[in-house]
Amino acid sequence: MKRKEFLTAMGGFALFSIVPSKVLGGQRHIAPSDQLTKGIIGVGGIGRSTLHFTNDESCRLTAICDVDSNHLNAAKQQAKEKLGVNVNTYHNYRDLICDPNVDIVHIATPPHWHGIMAVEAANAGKDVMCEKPMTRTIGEGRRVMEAVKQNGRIFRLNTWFRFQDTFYGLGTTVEPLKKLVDSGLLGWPLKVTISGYTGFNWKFFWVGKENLEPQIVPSNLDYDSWLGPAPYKPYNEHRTHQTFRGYWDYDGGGLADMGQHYIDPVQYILGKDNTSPVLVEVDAPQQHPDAVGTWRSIKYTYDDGCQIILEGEDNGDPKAPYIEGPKGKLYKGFECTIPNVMQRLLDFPDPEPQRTDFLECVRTRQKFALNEENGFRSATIVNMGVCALRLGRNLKFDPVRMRFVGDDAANQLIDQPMRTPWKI
Amino acid sequence: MKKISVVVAFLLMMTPYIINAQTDSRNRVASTIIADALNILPANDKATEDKLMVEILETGTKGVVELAMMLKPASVGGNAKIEYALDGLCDFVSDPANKQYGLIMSDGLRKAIEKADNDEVKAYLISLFRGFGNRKDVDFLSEYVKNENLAEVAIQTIASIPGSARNIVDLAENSTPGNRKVLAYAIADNSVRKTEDILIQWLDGADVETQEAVYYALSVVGGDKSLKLLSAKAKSLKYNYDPTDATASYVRLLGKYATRKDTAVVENGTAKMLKSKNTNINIAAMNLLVQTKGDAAVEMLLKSLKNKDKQVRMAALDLLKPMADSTVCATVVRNMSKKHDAEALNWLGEVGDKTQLEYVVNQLDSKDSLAVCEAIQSIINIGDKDGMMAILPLFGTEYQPAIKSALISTKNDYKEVVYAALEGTDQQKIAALNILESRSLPPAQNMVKRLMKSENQQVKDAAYKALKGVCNVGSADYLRELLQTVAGKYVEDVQAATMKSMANATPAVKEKYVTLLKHVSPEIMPRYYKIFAYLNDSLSITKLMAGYKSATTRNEALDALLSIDNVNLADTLYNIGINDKANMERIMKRYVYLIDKSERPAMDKLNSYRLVLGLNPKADVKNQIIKYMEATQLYQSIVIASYYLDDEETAQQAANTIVNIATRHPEFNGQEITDLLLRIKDILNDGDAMYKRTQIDEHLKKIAQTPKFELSDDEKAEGFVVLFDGTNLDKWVGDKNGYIIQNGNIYVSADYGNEGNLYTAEEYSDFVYRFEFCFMRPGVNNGVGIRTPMNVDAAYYGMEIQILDHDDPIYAGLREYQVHGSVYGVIPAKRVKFPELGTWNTEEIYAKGDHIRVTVNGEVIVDGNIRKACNGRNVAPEGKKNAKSGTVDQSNHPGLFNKSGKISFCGHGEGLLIRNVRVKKL
Repeated sequence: MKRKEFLTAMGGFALFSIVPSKVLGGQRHIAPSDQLTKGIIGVGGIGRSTLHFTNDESCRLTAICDVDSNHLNAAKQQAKEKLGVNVNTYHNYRDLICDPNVDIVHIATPPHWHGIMAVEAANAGKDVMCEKPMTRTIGEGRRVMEAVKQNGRIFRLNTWFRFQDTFYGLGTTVEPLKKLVDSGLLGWPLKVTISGYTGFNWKFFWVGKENLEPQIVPSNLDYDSWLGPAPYKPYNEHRTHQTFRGYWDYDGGGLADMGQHYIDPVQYILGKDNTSPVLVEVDAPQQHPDAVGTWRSIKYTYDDGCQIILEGEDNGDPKAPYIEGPKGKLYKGFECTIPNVMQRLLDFPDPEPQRTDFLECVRTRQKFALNEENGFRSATIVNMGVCALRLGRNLKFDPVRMRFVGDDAANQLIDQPMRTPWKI
Repeated sequence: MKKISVVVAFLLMMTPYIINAQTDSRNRVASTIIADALNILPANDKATEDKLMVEILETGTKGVVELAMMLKPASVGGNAKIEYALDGLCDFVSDPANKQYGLIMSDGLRKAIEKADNDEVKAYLISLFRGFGNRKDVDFLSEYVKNENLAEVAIQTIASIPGSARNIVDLAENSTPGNRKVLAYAIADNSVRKTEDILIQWLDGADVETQEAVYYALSVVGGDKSLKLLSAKAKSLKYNYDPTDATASYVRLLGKYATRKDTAVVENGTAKMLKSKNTNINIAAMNLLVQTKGDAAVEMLLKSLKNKDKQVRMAALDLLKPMADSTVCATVVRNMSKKHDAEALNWLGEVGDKTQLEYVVNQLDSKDSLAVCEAIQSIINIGDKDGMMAILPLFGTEYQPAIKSALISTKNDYKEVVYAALEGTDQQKIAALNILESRSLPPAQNMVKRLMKSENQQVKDAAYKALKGVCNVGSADYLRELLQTVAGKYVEDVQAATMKSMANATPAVKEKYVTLLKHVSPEIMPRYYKIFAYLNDSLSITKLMAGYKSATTRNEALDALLSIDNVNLADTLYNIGINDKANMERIMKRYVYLIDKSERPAMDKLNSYRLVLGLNPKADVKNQIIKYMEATQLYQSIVIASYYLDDEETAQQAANTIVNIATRHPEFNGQEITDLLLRIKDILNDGDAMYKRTQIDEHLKKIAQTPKFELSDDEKAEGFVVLFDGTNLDKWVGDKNGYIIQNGNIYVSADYGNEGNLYTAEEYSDFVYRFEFCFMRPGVNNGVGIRTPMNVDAAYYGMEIQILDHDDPIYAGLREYQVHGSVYGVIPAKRVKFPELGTWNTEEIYAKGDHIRVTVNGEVIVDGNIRKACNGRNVAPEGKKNAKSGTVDQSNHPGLFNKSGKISFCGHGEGLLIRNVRVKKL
């Protein structure tokens, strides 16, 4: 009997007899029926990192896929030597998605593939873990959200600062920030500044080169499949592995690389998981149509006046607080202009607990803390910035219709044509 | 002026073709305009870019064609600048504000596409129409669908232009097997009607990719025929996912019927889907039914709750949320209890239902621990008082973490159950006290105080810890006394409670707390230091200073002093630190920390840092200070940091500080900076070194562009020598910290005083001295010292030719011998009328023997003889009472007749720029 059929035969009951560890705080034994499996698409950089290239009793690694045979072979060997498992290897991601021994599809490709793969995985009945940025266009993000919902899938967007870890150079986790904002002590509306001075590095080294010499495609790489839905451009090493972020066709530089890491927690802190900004304003040098460049500032405004301000590299006020409200400011290291703020916060409720164990969410079919809905919203903030940056102008946005207002060219960037035969 | 430009803009808008002028206002022909633009692109800001785009577009289609024809095939490359320009033009005309230029761009691109002889170039140009193309462009592009290489880009571009549906139908009717995929997607993207039959024909013998595209298109534009076809296909696939993605297309098409509320079709289709073995298809069917029938789908959903697949049950529960009335809630409980209690409980909590409270409460006794956890969470979410009380027996059990996490985050009223627990068993008491530690509840104060006397040690300990959660500002007196008497192990708890109670305290309350503190023994006193530091008012600080003075309490008091977040304390700390050898290092560390946090002017901060660096502290303190120096962004910080490049322990920090200041200030572009940055490239070796080196190179490129001043041919012939060419101060001595190079100018930031002067390295006797100066702020005061020794007041021990913004109101009472250009105190100058601030002025000082001539902006304002001006009496005769010199200011000018000396700038504060300094010896 195949594993899948076995699970179905057992029904959901067995899945549910185990007490979630976070509630009782104890060690949990994983029953074999509770064990999940995952397949990773894209085992070059992040997909083969120690963080994700794992195999344990709660989740077994069963399959990997890559269009670079060097990556695939190295990963297969790594799985065997380091993890002690024989994994199925695929060149075509659709074969991995169809593999009945895969419960969770982990998408670790460059972003231009995220949308298509996530939608197809959901249509094939798989749960999905997707690296950030969720998608490289707003239209693709919407399709992912719809497909996940329609098929009743569990989706995790892989950034985590809204629920764990010190938030970069800010020197604090996000939880007390959320508590402070919810307490109202800072007043409303709030302005959040994400700059070098508040602890965040926009990684401007992810810029592209404008005059790439065509090169011969190495024999290990299926460049056509690597490009997939992206427009055809002559191969140059700099377009692909490690440096693809410098090209609009695949990603959006440091903004897209770090944007969702930095912005998603802000969306959470401001309580904006169900809406989007109504205006994006950019100040940047002219962008090349292919190679991503740098920018000075990107400013987002919500309809209630809350603002998120991204300052590139050295721009912005060195003394800017991270959060500024009419009644107080909060700086790096949780330094606050409100005296004795820690003591005062004792009078307020903690933020609501979040579901932060993805595998448990898969087992219990509960939405993960950062899912297809709020993940789509924070990816949209990044992508609004990308659109404004590429067009070099400020754009108005309708957060209900998820379209730009009065700008056809900007809306063209929401749904970009894909190279035939790809479609989302 | 303004009116005219408005009229011109209006004309441009109305008649885009008329503006196809031969030359622009600067007499440039199209090719020059394009070349100039390409030279500047990529523009650094939007205004510049827009200006360039308008310039190009105003050359008309000719310019666009000329630009496009410069493109080389992608396989040859080198197109970056042209792509910046063409893409920028398209972005520009796609902006609704610039619509009037769209036609020029369209016409130009069409001509260029016709003219181009390479398909790669054509493809790029075709793709540019996305975002602004018009109907004429669509007709034009349709021709290129016949070209195999260009079909895809042409079809996609056509599809992106509004109103192109008719053309797409035409293309579909004349399709080839090769372009059907892309046409099918184009049909789908534009929802082109009346294409269903064509699409279905295409399926015959089509490859997998074309099938996928056609199914997709049918799912968007198809009707009953497509539904039948896709239904059969999906069924044959057993609703599995396959490369044609037909199942997903079928579901999408059913979704169209669902939107139209076509119940019969959707019920028929979903009935089969619900029987599928694929759970995601079952769920998709449920979604479609809810979409079609709304609340009428409730029966189906409630039935699904009995499904043995958890995924189906959870999806049903999710869809039931908006329908959760009392009947639905009752049915949820009926259908799920016993088997799936935890799921039902979780759901009841999320929808906030109160009608099934009895069921929820009963589940607190469940043997399924997950169900108990969900019941707890639900009850607290629901917020019902009686329900909350039902949790009481579970306080302090293995469910305590679940209870605590829910209680400290709920917005509902939870007090009663906590009060009850405080009166309950010891285990419940401890649990409740534990919650108070994380979320305050002042009304429980008396209960906690009572428990602090408990005989159960664990209860007692927990009660002390909970004290901070129940004390408020009214507890100050109680806490003050308690801190004096409490056992040592509880001191921290009482301190924490005191701090919490004082969090919102007024100055009066704080003062009272400290004033009433009496009869405290020296052993107990340090317990209050933490509180004093927290209160952070002058009385508390006085107390701490007193504690510091006493040897027995010194260390505790110092610890407290150094923990105070009060920038006003900085100087106090410096003063005690300078005399406290044993603690100097840590006091100074705190001092510089507070200085960095303070709002003091950057220069004051730097002076503080220099004081501490002068004490030669350990390397970590030095590094910290050098790091703080970065925030000053001062040129002087660069200079001081450079002293620390030689010491291995401080070199990295110093290098980083210098790079981080210098690269943000391209105006610091003297040779000194260039040399320093080149040196730092070799020193950097931290993780970011590679990146920083590139940054330095880029920066050096940027600042190398500053032009050097060179003598005119005439001046060269006359024998002038350049003293300052914009790059270095090599020919100068004196205060190079006060006179710095910015943007090729000497910028004076010197303070008044002899040390704030810049002197020529050489001495001059008779000479012609020429320079340009500019006032950057009102009231600037400086002067040119001539024939002066160093480090004296040139006005008296040499001569000072005044530099002064004498029109500033602050100089209303100025004497005539003090205005700009005067030989200060000796020969008054004709009053110059200066142009507005920020304008450059030229000046020449001619000095030959006793003859002095000063020329400003071409006008002679002083032309006199210094000996005659004072009748030879530059100093008062000695020994005579009330004797005065013969000078107009009646002061002694002992250096007036010096034969030779330095030429100097006599700094009297900030705001003067100097450039192009040259001199000729006579």
